[in-house]
Amino acid sequence: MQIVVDKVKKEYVNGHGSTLALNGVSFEVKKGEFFCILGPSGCGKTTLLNLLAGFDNPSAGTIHIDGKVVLKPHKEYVTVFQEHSLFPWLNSFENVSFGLELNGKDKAECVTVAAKCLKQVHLEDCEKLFPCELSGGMKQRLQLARTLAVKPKIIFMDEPFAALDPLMKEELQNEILRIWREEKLTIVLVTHDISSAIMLADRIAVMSKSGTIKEIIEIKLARPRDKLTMQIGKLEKQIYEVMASK
Amino acid sequence: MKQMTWIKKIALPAVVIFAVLLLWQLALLIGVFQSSFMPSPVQVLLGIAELIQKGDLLDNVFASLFRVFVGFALAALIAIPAGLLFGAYAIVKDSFNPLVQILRTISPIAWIPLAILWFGIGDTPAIFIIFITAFFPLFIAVYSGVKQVDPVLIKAARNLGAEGRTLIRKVLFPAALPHIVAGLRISLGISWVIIVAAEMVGMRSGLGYLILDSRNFLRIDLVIGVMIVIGLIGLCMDAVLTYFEHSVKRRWAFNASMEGY
Repeated sequence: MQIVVDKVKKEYVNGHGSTLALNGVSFEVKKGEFFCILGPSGCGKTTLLNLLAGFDNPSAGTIHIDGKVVLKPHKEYVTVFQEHSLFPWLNSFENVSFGLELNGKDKAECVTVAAKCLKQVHLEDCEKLFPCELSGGMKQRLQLARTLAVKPKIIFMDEPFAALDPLMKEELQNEILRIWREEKLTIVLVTHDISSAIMLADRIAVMSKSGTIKEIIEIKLARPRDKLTMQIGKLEKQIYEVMASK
Repeated sequence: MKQMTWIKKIALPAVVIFAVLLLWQLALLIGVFQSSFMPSPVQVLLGIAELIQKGDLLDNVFASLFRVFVGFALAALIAIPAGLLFGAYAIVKDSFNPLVQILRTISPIAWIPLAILWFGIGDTPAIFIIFITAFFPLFIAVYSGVKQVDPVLIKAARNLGAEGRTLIRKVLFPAALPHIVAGLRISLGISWVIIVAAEMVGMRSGLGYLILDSRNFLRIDLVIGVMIVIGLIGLCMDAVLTYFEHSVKRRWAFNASMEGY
């Protein structure tokens, strides 16, 4: 198992008392798996992703990735955020080579790798454009390119479709699936969108409002998946019922 | 459309200024002021011409500008890194904050006696006063700029391997730059205000000194002339930095990022 989450709790203390965002979450993710964490807003799924990526630490329980305890961010396990995470003062090319330069790659290598990653997300003609000149979907693809440039083993995704219209969402989903296959990545994706989860995931962990995992559902359908089939409709209904149940 | 902005930007302000000059002249005609203490606009203009001709004006303008720019540059050199450290490390902030809060409420003018005792006469005490003046507003702007950096940018950068100094240099500084430039503009403006006061108290040159000196000779036309010159130079400095600020903000897409998504 590549990711092992064991009885993780996360408590936030504030002036009035404390909130329990996660209350004993356990699951495992296999290498190369596409794992979705699905739940309503406020269920602690983003908290969970923050812990997985090492931006924050659990109050109790442990998270192991590749056998090591996660305590801080690691450049092999990289997060793609909802939005606004591109550096606005850098153009597309510079955004992608940001991580490469940090890791001491020379100029020539930065250029080759960045060009390859931009091509991978079909932004090869946008090298010189700044993030504010890109559409929502292009921004997310650029984030993906920036992430791919550092050759991560795992990509965490935090609601990457939240700000996109349905057409862009579907396009980005297909891109992500293609890259996941090409690069043999492990992906953990957090979303509140049932149909995205079904279209993408190998397994879906459904979370409850009280910060626990209700059920982990395996999606055995072959890819590419057609969202207009009966099977998908049934799955959607089944997951909806799990989410809505007390 | 273009004509409208021309009217708004040039014609209307010109009308207002002309109206004020007219009222000034009118007040003199109906005897609101004792005329020996209040020259007419034309007399003031002639006064400025006289100062230019004798070379007094330019010498003193340069004296004041020199002090302001040196003091301001030194302040920027220290305030920007210090503000970045303050914003990046809570421990630095917690340790130094009370001291900073005490020092920044002391008027720079209050330092003048000490500055003269410590540095004698000449440019050094004035530069010191401007340093004190420019430092705090800029420092606070840099610090609050760092505090306003979107946490997601910091997360993304840390995730890609940026920590410590690299994080400050490659993310916090560029991300806070629009605030830093705004801070530069504000602290330069205040410096220009304070230099005149400083030169009145303890200097033998500069525009502040020129005002005081003219008053001693009861040349009120020169007093007002120099005041107007001070205002015009202040306007120019602010215009240059405002332009700089806008271009940084445009490049950093401060507005575009609001509507982009």
